[in-house]
Amino acid sequence: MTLESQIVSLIGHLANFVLLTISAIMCLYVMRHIRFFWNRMFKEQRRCYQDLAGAYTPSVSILIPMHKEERVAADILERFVEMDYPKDGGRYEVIAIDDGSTDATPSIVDEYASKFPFVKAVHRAGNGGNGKPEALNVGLKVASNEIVLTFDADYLPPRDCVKRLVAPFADVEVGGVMGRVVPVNSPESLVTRLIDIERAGGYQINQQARYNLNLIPQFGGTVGGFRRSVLKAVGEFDETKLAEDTDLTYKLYLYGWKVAYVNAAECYEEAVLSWDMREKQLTRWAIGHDQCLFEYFFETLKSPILTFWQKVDGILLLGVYTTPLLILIGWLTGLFTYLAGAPWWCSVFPGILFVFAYNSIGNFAIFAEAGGSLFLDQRRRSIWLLPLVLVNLLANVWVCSKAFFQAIFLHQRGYEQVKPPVWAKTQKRGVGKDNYNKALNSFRNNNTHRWDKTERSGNGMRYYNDIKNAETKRNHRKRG
Amino acid sequence: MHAQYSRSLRIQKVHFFVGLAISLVFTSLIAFNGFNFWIWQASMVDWLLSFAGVSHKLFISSGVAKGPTFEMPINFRPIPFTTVIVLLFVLASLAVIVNIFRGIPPPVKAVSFVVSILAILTLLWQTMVSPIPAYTLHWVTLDWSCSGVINLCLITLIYVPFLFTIKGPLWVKVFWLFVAIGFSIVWNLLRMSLVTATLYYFGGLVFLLFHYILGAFIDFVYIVTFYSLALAHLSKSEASEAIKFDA
Repeated sequence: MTLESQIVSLIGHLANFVLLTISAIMCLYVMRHIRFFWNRMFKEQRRCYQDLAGAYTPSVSILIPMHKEERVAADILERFVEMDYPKDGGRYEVIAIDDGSTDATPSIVDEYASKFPFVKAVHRAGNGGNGKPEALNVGLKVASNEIVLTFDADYLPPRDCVKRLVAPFADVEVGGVMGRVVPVNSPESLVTRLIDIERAGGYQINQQARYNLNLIPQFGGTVGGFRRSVLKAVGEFDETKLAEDTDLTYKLYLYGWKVAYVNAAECYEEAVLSWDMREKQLTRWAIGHDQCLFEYFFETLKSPILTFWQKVDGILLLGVYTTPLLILIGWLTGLFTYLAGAPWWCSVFPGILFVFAYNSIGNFAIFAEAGGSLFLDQRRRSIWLLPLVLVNLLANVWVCSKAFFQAIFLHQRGYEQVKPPVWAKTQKRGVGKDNYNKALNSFRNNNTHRWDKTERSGNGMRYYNDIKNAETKRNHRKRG
Repeated sequence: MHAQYSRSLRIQKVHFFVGLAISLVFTSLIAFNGFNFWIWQASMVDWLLSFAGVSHKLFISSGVAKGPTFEMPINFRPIPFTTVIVLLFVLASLAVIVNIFRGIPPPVKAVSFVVSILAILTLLWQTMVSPIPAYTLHWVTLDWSCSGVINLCLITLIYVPFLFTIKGPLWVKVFWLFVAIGFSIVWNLLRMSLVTATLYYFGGLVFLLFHYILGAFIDFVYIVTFYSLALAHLSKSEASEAIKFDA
């Protein structure tokens, strides 16, 4: 063989090996998502202590970081003022953190703080705008209650959201909680519709299944919270990370705490409207997630606390923003197999080529998850839009592939490079409230929709007392 | 209580096994009658190419080639080296410009970038590694890797666990499964005709690129599309049942 043909042969073998490896990794994700789909669609669901919602009401501090949020600040503060939660004796406080805003946000925040004793205004004039984790840490210093919940400024929680979110903290093992995010401006553009479908699959199927299976449901940065003591123990919000939510999730699990997912705690957000905004948002999430991948990959593998399946899920979750890059590499290296002909082992094991073909666009299970969630939510019209998820996939391939290399660069250079150039704030338009009110009226008029009156089974206090008794016995044993 | 948030469905086991049986029968049919299926495909493609006025000959032989083979007369000339350099430069520039220009949505950027890179790699392969010889006759063979038979098995294996298990009438599921299979067969005929015609009109380089891009990428589009239509139909059936029950 000539040197040239040897080099070509070597490249061909390398390409086939890469393709085989990528297919094997994608198969793991396929099996993971099939498992989630089947669990959520057909198995009994954990209700996450929702029988205790309203019966168990610990003291709660709500942190709302706001950086130039004049369009939405009043709406969210109004929602928390109207929140159905005991406000007596300082058990409920809303901490609005004005993070160096130069618009009308400080005056809005001050107005609410002056009217309502449980609303506190924190101003970071001059040294704000450096990212959400910094703002949250400032708010954390002011927070004085047992449970800390965080909400982004453009969110609109229903009146029962807080009591649903805090119910799981009746379990002493729960260190964090996450609710469900629902875009309220879905019909506005193609991007919002795709985000809506993505959220539906991610929360209704993915998160719920991970909670059912005792894996690692993730805290998503908003519509969720922690025990204040746990947050302080794990080092609060990491200001060097762009995805402080993923970072906290892994810290909690590695320290032995759990995160509970509350599907019933829905909160409505204003999804980004354009591809440009979506790209910035997704880049931030992807870089942040990849930062956590570099930091927690081996820690997760070596953890003596996590179960085997939690480790598997944890590793796959860490790698989720690298799968678009793997798909891109698969497309490009697949060309070698096509041009040079399939290797000999494809003839011996034709199923391997079958797997290559199946994994050529990622995996179908993602679409099934999205479709299944829309089926459960009884949103037939949105199901028709499922093929457009391919457009989202293409966007993810582009954005997440670039973000991976940016994350490597930032990991090498250190966190000082991260903050100013990369933390791109998502602009809000303030349309959430109008859409929320329309949706709310539509929900109330539609008997089959998920806006159901909260019924009580009367079993809440029994469960609460059982848990409290178990905790008392555990404490006696420790003292003994 | 909180029924919607913790709602789950009862798995349709009977439907699942019916779907599995259909899938196994289909896969067996393809496994044992693959060559006959290719012969039928080749005869249909032959008819389509004749209808389009593409000059060709069809050879059906189970001994010599891997499958039915189309012979095309092609006035092939190798691409001059300077043209290759210019093309590479244009494609690489396109990939870079698309990346830089902010107004282009990410999905378009992804498609442009991937197509550019695939074109560059194919061009380099053509020029430096395995150039298509300057024959006047070229051959396109239908075998199991390009005839689309894998997709037929893929469709049944995807739809069975993700569709047949969901609550709803069995006839809806079987109907959409066979619609997807039927569409796949028709699409593969059109695809093979288009790809073969591409070789005739545009030569080997475009043929290779077109054949690769039109492969699994497009298949996923219609597989997902028919799945979503089936799911929407099942959802409508479920809603109708709920109304009847309430009434």
